Amino acid sequence: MSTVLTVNNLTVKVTEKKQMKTLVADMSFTVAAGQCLGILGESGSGKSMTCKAITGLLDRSFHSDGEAIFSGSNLIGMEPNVLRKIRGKDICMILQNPMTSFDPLCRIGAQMAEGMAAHTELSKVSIKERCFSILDRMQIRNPEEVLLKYPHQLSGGMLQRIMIGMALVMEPKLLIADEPTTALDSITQYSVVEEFKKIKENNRVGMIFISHDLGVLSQIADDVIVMHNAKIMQRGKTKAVMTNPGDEYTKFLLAKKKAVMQKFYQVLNPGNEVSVCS
Amino acid sequence: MLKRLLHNKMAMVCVGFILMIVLLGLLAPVLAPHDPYYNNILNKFQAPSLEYPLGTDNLGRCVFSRMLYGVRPTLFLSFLTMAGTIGLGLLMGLLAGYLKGKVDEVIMRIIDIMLSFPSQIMVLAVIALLGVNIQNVIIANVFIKWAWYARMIRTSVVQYTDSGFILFAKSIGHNTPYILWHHMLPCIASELVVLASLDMGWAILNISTLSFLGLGVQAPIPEWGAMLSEAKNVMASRPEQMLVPGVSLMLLVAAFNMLGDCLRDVMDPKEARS
Repeated sequence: MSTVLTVNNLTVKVTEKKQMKTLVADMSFTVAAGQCLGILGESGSGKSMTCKAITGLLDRSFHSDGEAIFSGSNLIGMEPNVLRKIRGKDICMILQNPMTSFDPLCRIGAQMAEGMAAHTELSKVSIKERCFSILDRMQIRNPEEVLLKYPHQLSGGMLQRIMIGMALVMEPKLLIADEPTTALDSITQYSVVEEFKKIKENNRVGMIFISHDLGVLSQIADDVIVMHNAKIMQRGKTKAVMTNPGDEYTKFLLAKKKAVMQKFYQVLNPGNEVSVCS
Repeated sequence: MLKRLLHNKMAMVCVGFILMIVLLGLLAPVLAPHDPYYNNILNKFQAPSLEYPLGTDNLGRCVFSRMLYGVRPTLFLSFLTMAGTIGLGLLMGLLAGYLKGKVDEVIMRIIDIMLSFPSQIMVLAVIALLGVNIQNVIIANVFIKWAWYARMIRTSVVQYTDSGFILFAKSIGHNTPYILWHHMLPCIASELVVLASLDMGWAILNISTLSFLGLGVQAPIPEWGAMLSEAKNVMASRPEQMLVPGVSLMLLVAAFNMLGDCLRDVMDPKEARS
């Protein structure tokens, strides 16, 4: 397995009212091709900040230090125009809320096409063919119709799958999924997670999967990093972290999740206890 | 939305009226019974007749022909003013709202300074500095008005800058001009159109005002403001001279203002449901 991304001592700070606030402290990890790294943590723990820092999506009020080595070059502090060409081609992102991630005034087809047009020299016809193949791969029916629709006419799950498809068609080396299932209901969550599993099986893409959902992460992540208050609390193999949390905060998270799930199962069928990972 | 606009009677009446005026202006050489510059002092202050549908003015020129030809500078100059204002305002507003930080600070402070001067005085000052000329009138009008637009556009841009689809466009790897042009502009276009159509009336009035004061379009050229100015000299003896340019100005400005109101109603999401 070849390493796709190596992050060393990544620190993100923001200046607010003349005070430096650390959003991500001293983060280090590696992602290999065909492997999925899960980043777990509560809201505001710095999960998304890490990814935005790597892809250079933070604006100038943020300062990022450290290094993120991607195919031999450091992404932190890279010339924005060079980074822009890598972003969307070699590193693709899947954003949190599919309903707002598409321009409400553009048709789906146009938005899919413009992403491809930005990075490839394909003709209009072959772009359209590719759009069809994306929709086909993502099991969306009536692709002709879908391409002509506006985002608000499609469901969140469909949009999220389209977004995943758009990322995959570029054949990136690294795929960053920033809470891709958070805004979806459980049934669509399931189908989206299934898509991610398929990506993993292809074994070529390195994946960073950010989530606060233990259930989703335990399904697809190989390794997991638990973040709290900008710091890494624990890291290790997913199974090991889930079943044997060494860190206090991780224990707390798991216990909370377990409590919620227990209540849920109690309501469903009283007198039955279930563990988190199953 | 276009459908709703087409169903709005008031909007269609206004659009129709404006289009008619534009057409009259364009077809002036065909429609006008006389040369707007041809004067015949013996024929001055004639009452409307078949030869002179709206009578003649103090130099015996055909008022109807002058009114038709007057559409051209009036509308053309105000279109030019609005185009310049929106162009400059859009550029500044987009830059300030999207780039944030220092660029935003600098542009907004310039806007604050611009807005702290009373606009009419500024126009007079600019014209006094640059000289009496049609170009300078446009420059002066753009100069005082762009700041309003820049501020309005900045507000809308800031609202959309952090939205998901802009972030997504960035993460796909589009460059800034592309994002601004393809994703930002369509979002703010509706507000811009409403404001522009409302201000079109303002531009017409302002240019006519300046011509009336003798600072804009100069004497022999037929322009409604300038025509009013000439008619003013005989206000006591021949008040009807002011009617033609005055009423046509009023109607045109009213049409633009009401069109703006209708557009706002049409684009109001609350109205959409009913």
